[in-house]
Amino acid sequence: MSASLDKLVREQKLIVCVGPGGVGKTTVSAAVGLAGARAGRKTVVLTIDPARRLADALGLPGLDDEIRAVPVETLPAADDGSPTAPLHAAMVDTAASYASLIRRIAPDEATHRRILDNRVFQAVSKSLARSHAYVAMERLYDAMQNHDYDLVVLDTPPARNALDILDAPMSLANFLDSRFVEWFLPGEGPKGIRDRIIASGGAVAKRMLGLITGKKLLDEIVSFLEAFASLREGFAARATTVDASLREPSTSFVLVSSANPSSADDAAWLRHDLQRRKVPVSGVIYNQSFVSLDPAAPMQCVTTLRDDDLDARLGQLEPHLQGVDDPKALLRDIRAMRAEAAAENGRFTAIVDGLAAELEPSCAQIRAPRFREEIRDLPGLLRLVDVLTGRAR
Amino acid sequence: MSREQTAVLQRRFVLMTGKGGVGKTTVVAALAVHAASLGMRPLVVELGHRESMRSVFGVDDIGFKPKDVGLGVHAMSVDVDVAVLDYMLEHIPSKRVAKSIVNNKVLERLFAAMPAVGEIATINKLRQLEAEELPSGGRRWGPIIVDLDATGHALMFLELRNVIDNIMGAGPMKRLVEETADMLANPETTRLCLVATPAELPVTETIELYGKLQGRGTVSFGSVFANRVPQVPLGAEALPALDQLEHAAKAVGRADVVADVAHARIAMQQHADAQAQLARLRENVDLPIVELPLLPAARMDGASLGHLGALAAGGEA
Repeated sequence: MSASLDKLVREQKLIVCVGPGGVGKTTVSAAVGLAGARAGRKTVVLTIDPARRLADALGLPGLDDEIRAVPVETLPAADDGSPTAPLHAAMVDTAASYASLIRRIAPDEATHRRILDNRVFQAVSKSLARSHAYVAMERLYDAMQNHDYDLVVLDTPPARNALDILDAPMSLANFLDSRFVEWFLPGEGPKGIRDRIIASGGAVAKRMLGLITGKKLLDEIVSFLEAFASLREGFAARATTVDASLREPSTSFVLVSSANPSSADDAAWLRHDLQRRKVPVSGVIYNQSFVSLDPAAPMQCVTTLRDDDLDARLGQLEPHLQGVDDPKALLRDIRAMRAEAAAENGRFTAIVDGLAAELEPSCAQIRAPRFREEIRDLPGLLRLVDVLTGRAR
Repeated sequence: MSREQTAVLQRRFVLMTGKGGVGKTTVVAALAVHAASLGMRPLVVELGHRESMRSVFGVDDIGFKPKDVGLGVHAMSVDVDVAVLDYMLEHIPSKRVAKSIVNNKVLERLFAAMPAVGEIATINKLRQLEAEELPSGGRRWGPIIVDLDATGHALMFLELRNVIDNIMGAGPMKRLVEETADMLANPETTRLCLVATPAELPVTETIELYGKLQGRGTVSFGSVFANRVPQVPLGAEALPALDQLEHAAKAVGRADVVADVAHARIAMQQHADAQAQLARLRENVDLPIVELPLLPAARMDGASLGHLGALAAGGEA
């Protein structure tokens, strides 16, 4: 087992960070990206989390759909003196990404406009939770095909189920290619028996749907499908490429979890799901999974603390204290606080061990401490990079 | 705030939302356990295929039907796909056509991709559950505690009327949405509770969600649960004594006490930061704010869930 992501960020072309919400996944993704840039690789981080703090952490005035350069030149040089490679970042905006996707693959301007103006499309592109996964994949395609990045780091929407991310590229392509679309759209050329059956089934289905949704929505759906049908080939080609790139040996999935019980449960589900689909988990980051309790060894996870020599401590220290009301109580309280924190570290460790079970021996596992201050700037992010790459003391 | 306005568990629907990782699932479970201990018949409904209640209650499988998960609580999970099929079966007059549509994988995908349909099917299910009666008369479930997936999801759910106004003509779906929207907007029937931790991002998101929904008339608020509020036994007045202690400990070479002091200072600072975030929450959100303590990172048993639930519900009185 390696306790560093160093190898991954030096060798891989794509690192996908998956994990439940609220574990600091986006910040970890940014740190993985910065680690790549520190290793001299031109890197882009694609995130889906509109957190302003992340923009701050990356030293950017704002983070939006546009890919921007992170001011890494403000950072001190790496230990070996090598320069930091360019790092870029963008926050994927679902509606904007859909719109630009349609622009790229629409055969002509009229189709492009027709789709953008369709209210069903507008609602789909803005409102659907599931489309986040799809759009993340789309941006990934663009980053991998149209730019010369050495490393792409993809932060994914919080999902208990890794399925969404892996299935996204193919599911829309399959949908557009399906019999269903034929139901609704008039076929081309002479009609055989099969076509007629499909057509009559389609008519029934259409009537039924109209009954439920009302005619207005149904009409919109049909025109949405008509417009979308012309994009079929474009979708299929892109989906196949993205799907293949997710399964390349140069792609790694990194699982991010915290050490609280419910996040760890969610993370265990994700791990299971990835394994079931034969997608290897290359690294697990247990973020904020212990509190540093020994100033001499801040990266050590202290889980037990002696708490039995109160009188000895008091005897040694009392002569040096003036005007402290109840030094014994104070000494007792502060030791109890640290001992409880150590016990909590122990509980975190049990949770981490539970999550670590069933991982491949080759999987890198890193426990990151809960930093005293939240990560607010590039130097702060660099501290997490040091932890991830095994450079922290 | 009067008891009448805030006794959240008395409502038919308690909607719970909050950013991922704030411990919403635990608060939902705790409220349900507490409601059961009061003799109520709580049903937890999770939206999406998260099934977090499985691990909280230690049961194998939670599906589309209410399941007894122990401690007097029932739980179920409403997956959009299943809800849509259920809705189709209910609304399509010809069972044969309904079945063929239901069995059609392609259609299933369409409904998953279509705007609002999943949400509509979900509210249809919630309405059915709400209307269920006991053989002896009276409502089968109460309160129905709905664990909304994430804050964005909550918005979509509550704004459904506006979403479909643009795209949907008159029909059974529209009627259902209208009726449900009225039900969600009625403060006697429904309350939306927000869960946050006293940290910057969750507090900001809570303030933003409150701002977006406030005054729109789509839903009435219940409480804000400020979860995982850290407690420390020392107040700021102990700081000068800590300085002295650190100095003395260094002088006599007690590194362990130096470390104690350092940790105590950090814990006090974190406590102060959390209090500052709570103050920000209070300043910007005009709702009762119920503080729940930071608990050890371990699975909770029934007794501790009930205790947390009593704290949560008691804070509302």
